[in-house]
This record gives sequence, C-alpha cells and structure tokens, in this order.
Amino acid sequence: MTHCNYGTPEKLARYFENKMGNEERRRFERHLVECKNCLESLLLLEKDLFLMHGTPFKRLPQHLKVKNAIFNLSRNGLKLVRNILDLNNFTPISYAPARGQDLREAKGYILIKNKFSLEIIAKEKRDFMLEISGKLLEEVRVYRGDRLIDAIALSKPQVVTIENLAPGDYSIWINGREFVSFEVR
Amino acid sequence: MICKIPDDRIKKAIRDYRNGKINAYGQVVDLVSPYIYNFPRIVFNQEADICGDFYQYIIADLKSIMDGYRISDVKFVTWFTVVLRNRYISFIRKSKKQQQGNQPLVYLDDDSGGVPLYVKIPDRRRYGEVESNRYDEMIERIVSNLKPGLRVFFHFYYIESLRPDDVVFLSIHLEKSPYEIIHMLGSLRDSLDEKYRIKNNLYKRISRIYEKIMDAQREKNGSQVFHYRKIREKLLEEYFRVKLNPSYQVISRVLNVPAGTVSAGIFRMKRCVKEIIGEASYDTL
Repeated sequence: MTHCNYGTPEKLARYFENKMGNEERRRFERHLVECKNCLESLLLLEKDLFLMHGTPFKRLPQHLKVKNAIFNLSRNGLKLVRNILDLNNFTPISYAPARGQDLREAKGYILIKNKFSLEIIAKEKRDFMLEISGKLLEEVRVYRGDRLIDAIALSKPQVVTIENLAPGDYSIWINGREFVSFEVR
Repeated sequence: MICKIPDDRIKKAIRDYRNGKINAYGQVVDLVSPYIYNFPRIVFNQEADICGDFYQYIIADLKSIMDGYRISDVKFVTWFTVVLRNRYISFIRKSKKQQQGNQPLVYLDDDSGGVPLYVKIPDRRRYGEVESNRYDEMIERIVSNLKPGLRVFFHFYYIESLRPDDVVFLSIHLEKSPYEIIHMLGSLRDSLDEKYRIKNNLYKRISRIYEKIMDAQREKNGSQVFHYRKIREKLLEEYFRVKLNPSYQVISRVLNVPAGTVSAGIFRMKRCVKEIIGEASYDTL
C-alpha cells in the first residue's frame, strides 16, 4: 500500500466513527472515491478491530516488560543511559562532602515512588549496591532476570542494603508488588 | 464487543503524561502493551518471536507515537489500530522478514490434491504471490461479468473478497456512503465471530504442520513427511468446510430486503459465478 498524505490515521479514525462534520465528511468521501489506499485502510481497520476485539489476548512475556531505566556501569561509575517509563524517574544524587574536601561527584541515582525510595550506587570495583528505604517497608525481593537473588522480610521498617551486585536485568518487588525494573549494562 | 484498551483510562493516562505527572507514561505503556504485543499474532497470524520484536519496535518509539495523538471524542483504539497497521508494514519492510499475514504461511503445493478455484473465493490468505494474483484476477473476472444486482449479493456473501473498488460500487449502487457500507460489512462479520475463531485456529495448526513437513523434508524423513501430509490434508478439509459466508437472514437484515429475495439472489449469483469461473461443483461454491 502506498502512502496517502490526506488520509491520516486521525482522519480515518474520525470517519470510521462518524465523528466528522457534514462538510468534512463530504470532502473525505470525495477523496475516498479516488483514493484506493484510504478505502482499503478503512476496510482493513474494520477487519482489524473485529479481530482484535473478538480474540483473546496472550500475556506479555516477562522478558518483554518495559524496564524503568537503563544504566551503564563502568570503571568511571554508574551512568544513567535513559529513563524509559517516567520523565523524572531516577535522578542523580550527590553526597555531603567530607571535611575539607570538595563536593564529591554523584555516583548514584535515586528513585522515590509510593513512599519508598531506591538508591543505586556504584562501588569501587565493577559492581554496585542498592539501598531501599520506606516507612511501610515489610518485604523486599530482588530478581536478576527470572532468578530471585535476594529476599528480605523485615519485622520493623528500616533501610535494606544489598551489595556486590553485578550488571543484569533487575526487578525489585516491595511488599509483594513490583516497584521498579531496570537494566545495568 | 469488549474494548481491549479502556478509552477513558487511556485518555486520562495520556493527559496525565502530557501534564508531566509521574508514572503516567508507565500507565500508558501498561494499557497499550497487550494490544501491541497481540496485534501481529491476531491480525497477521505471526508467531511469538515476531510479536516480541514488533512490541519492542513500537515501545522504542511509543513516546513519539503518542505525541501524534490528538485527544478527541474518537476512540483511542480506532486511531491506534490504524497506526499499528502502518507501523507493522514499516517494521516488516525494515526487518525484511518475508512472512506476513496477507501473504501466506501455508503454501498449497501441487501435491495437495489440486484445490479447485471455487474453494478459494471466501479466503485469499492461504495463497502465495502467484496464487494471490490468480485469486485477484478471478475476483475481477467474476465481478466484471456479474449483473449489478447479483454483484451486491456476491460481495455481501463473500465478504473476504471485498476490495476498495467494490466498496465504491456498493456505495453507488445502494446509494449509501462508504461509512455505511463498511459498517454493514462489520455487521455481517460480527455474525461470523465463532467461524472466524475456528478458522483462525485451523489456519495456525496448518501453518505449524507445514513447518513440520519442511523440517521432515530437510531431515529426509519420508515417513514423517507422509504422516504430516496426511494430517495436513485432514486439517485442510476441515478448514475448507468452515465457510466465512454470512447467513441469508443476516444479509437480508443488513440489506433490509426479505430473506427469500436474498436466498434467490444468492442462488442465481452462485450459478452465474459457476459459469464465469467454469467450475463444475455448485454445492461447494
């Protein structure tokens, strides 16, 4: 099918749902008589919607689930490649300087969501650590890929630190719900 | 029909995302993800790996896709379906994967028992490029030789063969807008819901058997090839038995004419089609 500049998805959808005004509809119908592409798109739209609405969906595989962010871990530290799901998701953090020293360069990133916070901090070697905190923190599970690598149950809310983590696909679950997933390359 | 993307929720999520609300984009992704992932599988009969590739292809560009959406009283899913089809075509071109839905997953080779042309009218998707051209030529020969009155019955009875030109013809002949014609077609298709489901399942099974035949041929395992061909023949028989033709009652309701007129019209139409394509069997038409 060749491209038609006139029959945009918006126009086709509006015509299909009969949401055009009289004049606009007449103009579009005059176009349809001449443009097989648009008419074919409408025919296909009718069939696609029928098939999509009438057929049960399959679940999205776990490995395809969209990660919140991607980090790059190197000797120079941790670098956020991109935040995927939210505009202001992981943000860089700086630490208070030690006496007589300049402000240290940010080595980590923090995410605050649903009364919990997660810090991801690079270590000296090529590994990193996670620090999870929150008032209602009761249970934390950390998955790398499909493998559970750590599960912590807390009797009272506190900070959880998980160290010596290697690059991989991570998924953090707090109190039985997925909190965040990210990739460290 | 159940809408697979709740319109109010997706529009709210898009509005929130545009207003910079935290987590709103995540909600948009959650709402559209199953639809994107299942689109190639349902519409183009693609396997899971292609669905996954297509999903990632769309997700990588979802923000710019969403930027192109203008919130209005039009359902989001209608707009998004048009976008997905366009994107799917680009995706296939880009990835140079040759398999796609309107082209066949199953090729009926010469030893499949010689399927007569009349069986082909309801469903073109089984055929390869050459077969598809022959199919188009056949439909063109039929519609150009049928009287207008009978041609209407032909299009409404063999809805899978409907082409853009036919919509224009129906629009002029029935004095209805393309919008009305397309929605009449939708009503006919709705009545075939169950048949579509059965036929699609059989189609997938035939596709899988075809792959097994190919594997067995590569391994030069003659007995396996014979075994799978037998299964395929049975499945094809079943496949042909399920016809995607709406009942006379449904056609009469959509056309707003008596059922007797429809049955007589379809009878005459089939007789004419038989003469045009020169096929012997009337019953299977």
